[in-house]
Amino acid sequence: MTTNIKYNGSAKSGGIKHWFFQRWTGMLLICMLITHFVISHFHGHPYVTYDMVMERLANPVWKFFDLSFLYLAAYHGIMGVLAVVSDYKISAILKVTIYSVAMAIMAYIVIFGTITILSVNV
Amino acid sequence: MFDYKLHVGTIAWLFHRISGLVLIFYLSLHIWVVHYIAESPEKFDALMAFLAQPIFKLAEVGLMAAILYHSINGFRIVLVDYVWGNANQKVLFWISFGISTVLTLIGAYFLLISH
Repeated sequence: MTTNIKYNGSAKSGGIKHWFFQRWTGMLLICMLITHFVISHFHGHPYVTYDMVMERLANPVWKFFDLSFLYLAAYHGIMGVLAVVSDYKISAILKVTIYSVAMAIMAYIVIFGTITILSVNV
Repeated sequence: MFDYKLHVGTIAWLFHRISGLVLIFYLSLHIWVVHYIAESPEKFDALMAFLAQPIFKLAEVGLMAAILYHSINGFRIVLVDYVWGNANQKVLFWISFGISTVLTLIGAYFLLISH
């Protein structure tokens, strides 16, 4: 990754790319979230059941959708945290600490989410 | 963080960050909850029934507020960046804030009252 925590958002960090990707992943995430919302709520049952999810995930296209949604959200989230920490006048050590915690949370989300999606209905 | 003057844009930006952090927190909870799909059908269905309780519906209204604010204000940022420039950003903020508030209230009605 070319990310430089000191210069993030400036031309030195390749910030224009982050800015560009943050906007386009954001718009993509809105579309994917609407899809996710419709399939999880408009099914005529009080809550999502195991059978419903399994029926959907039997189709590899849906697995691909779920994984893409997860990775895009994780990317957008970590870039958002990076933008926030690099924006405040706080010490470098605190920036690195917050960013590391965020990275750990994202690693957990990506790894745990991937294992879950890929281990069902194989 | 406290050195900034509270303009409309500052508030929009602060809310955008806070809602973004809320969404990261929710996503980590969500991934933990749905991982039970890989454990057993009984555990998953029991958990989903448990989460259908009114207290969680209330939390879902909060989640919806964060999502709607973050996505609609995010879309406003895209429009300001790519289409209209800074000139109308304050008016656009109030429009986007209005839309997200109205949609949250409609969603809250369906989640809390009509079900």
